[in-house]
Amino acid sequence: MKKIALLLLCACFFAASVLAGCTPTPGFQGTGGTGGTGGSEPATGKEAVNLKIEAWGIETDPNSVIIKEAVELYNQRNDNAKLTIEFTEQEQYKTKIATLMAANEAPDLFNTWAAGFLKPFVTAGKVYSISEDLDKDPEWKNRFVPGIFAGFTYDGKIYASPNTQTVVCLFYNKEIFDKYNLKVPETYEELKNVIKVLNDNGVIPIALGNKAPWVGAMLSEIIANRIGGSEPFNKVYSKTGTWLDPSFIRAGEIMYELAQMNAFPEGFNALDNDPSREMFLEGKAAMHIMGSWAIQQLTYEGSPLIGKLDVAKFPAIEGGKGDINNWLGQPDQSFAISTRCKDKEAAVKFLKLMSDPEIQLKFAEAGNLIATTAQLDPAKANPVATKVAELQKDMKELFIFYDVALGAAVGNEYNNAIQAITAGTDPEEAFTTLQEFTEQNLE
Amino acid sequence: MESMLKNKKTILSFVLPGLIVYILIVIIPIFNTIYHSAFKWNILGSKNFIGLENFVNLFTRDKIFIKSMKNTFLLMISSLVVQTPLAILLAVALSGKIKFKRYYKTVFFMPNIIASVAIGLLWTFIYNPEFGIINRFLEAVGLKSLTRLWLADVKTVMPSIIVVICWQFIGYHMILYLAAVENIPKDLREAALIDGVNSVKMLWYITLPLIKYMIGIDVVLMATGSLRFFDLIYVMTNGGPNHASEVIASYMYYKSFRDYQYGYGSAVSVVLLALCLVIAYILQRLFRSEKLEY
Repeated sequence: MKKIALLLLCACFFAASVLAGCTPTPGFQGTGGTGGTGGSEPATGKEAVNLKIEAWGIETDPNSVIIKEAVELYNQRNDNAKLTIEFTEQEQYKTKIATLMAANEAPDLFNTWAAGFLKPFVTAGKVYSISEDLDKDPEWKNRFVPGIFAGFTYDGKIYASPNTQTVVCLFYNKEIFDKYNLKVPETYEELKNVIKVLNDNGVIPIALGNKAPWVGAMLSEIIANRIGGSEPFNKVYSKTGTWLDPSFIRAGEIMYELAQMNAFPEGFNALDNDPSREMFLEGKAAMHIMGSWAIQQLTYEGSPLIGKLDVAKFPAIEGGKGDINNWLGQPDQSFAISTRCKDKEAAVKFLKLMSDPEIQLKFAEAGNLIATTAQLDPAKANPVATKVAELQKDMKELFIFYDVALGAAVGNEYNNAIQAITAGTDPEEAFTTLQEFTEQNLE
Repeated sequence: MESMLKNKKTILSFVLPGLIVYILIVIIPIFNTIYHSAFKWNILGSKNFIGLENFVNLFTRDKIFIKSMKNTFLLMISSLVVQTPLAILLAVALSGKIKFKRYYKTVFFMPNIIASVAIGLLWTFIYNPEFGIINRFLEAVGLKSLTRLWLADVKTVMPSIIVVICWQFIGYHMILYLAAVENIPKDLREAALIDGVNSVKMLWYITLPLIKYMIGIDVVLMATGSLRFFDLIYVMTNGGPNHASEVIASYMYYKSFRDYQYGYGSAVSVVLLALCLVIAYILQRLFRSEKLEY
């Protein structure tokens, strides 16, 4: 019996230590920022203000490296403010930033996504609006691609400045397409035909790893837009419409149809995104539908796809209302300033540096689509990124990822619903459940 | 020494430091959670008091929560039904005179000393539909029709996880029963043998009644353990696909830290706490046994 008591005690301690690990530790994160004693005073004094930046990503990611270079450049050129930056893996970052915000320990500057991600922070008064600063400096404001601030505008005020753009593209392997005499599909019927030919020849048609369900959800969002245009989703967003709109249900049916005709790798719902990209890289799969961030991962030095990789617009769907020139995507690599920031002027200066052509061109060279109109020397540009930019010239509309627009709760459920449909759930049933959930949870 | 330990102040001075820590990091957060469960709160904005609305929603409108409740009970019941008899049988077998006793003990207990995250990853590889050992084996022996997506299929995901959980914990329960079985005095067994009892009867009439107290303890441990089960599910499926393997604890995490519905997540954890208490109480009543005196 004593042994058991001891055991239970150990269990209690273990549980306690786990719980303690979960609670935010006030003051810990802040110490880095408040180290400078003149913290609360404006940057008129002699002492430099320390500003802390929280960013998502892995420190060795090409984009993280560029951001780090920008931070160093800033520190060299400015004596009155010193920046420090910390990177956190993407999923953990979301939790981290929410926890910091809740504990009133928000960093001075932080990486953010558009629409639904930033919204709760803005509503809670944690984010500083850069509208006035943009208006004061028209040269800065005019650097940006038109319309890019839409996702960061709440009640007519702008809260963050993006540095790159992401759009979802249809990547394909030219060599495989040539080998089987295939043309890039322009309609859904043609796409189905391509899939059939590839399957007959033992090539995986579309490399799609849907274990994390946002991957398949992206594809379904494009399909839904091709069928019904942007209106059905905008109605869901503004709570004037429902998920039972025929365009969503038809998109669900098409997703199921694609899964049934083996358009995706075997067991794609158990496959991670990274190994699916490997399939495409190695030439086992002919197409890959992914955000433009994948350009870097597909065209690195020594990539087997160099010279073979090409990109196209996602095909139209017969009888659909949506324009082939609507692109799914979002402004990306965006930074916002928190209201807690000790020196907003210095922080704005960093945003300006990031959107300056000297940094923007680095982003472009690394294969990003940039958020500004900076002109890149064609010789240095990544050919695939250039092609995407060319295709985008006819862009009618940039519609934003559903899970970004709707925020975490409903967004995750949408992704789950699509995954369930590809696994065999009836689309109408899945969307009815999603609709109920949306009514309960959409803010 | 004896008199010192009888002094209440001395006792207090020994107990107090631990008690304070315990109250600060266990008791207070529990009440804090109960308090938060009455609010609609996303950690950031203002808290809106909504009384019992979170609980009403949980039980009347939230299909995912109902699903996670069902899964939790499925997990608990299958743990009890599968692990208890197997652990007892293993313990009885190992208490007899067999070769390599220590070796078997170590082997059965091994999964228990491996970190859950490592176990989760290990079995994720085993279940991998493409290169996992199970599907490869089935293909190799010509049973390709039996291959499944295991962790990615709504129908197979819960059984797949339950297998891993049983594999992980059975050694632990076996050790508990082994201790109890080896505590039974030899003369009782010898007397029974002289009376011509076979091994089945020995198990049923001698061993089981004498380890009943341990079954009582173990069942409570097992039940509460599986009610708040979290780690393997988080590592292996994260509650997916489409919440098919969601249990109450993982749903609590999902709501609080993925959806930022902190008040709602608190309500989920209050339900979990209540369930643990109620079930532990019921099981303890069921297995109440008189003190054994040999």
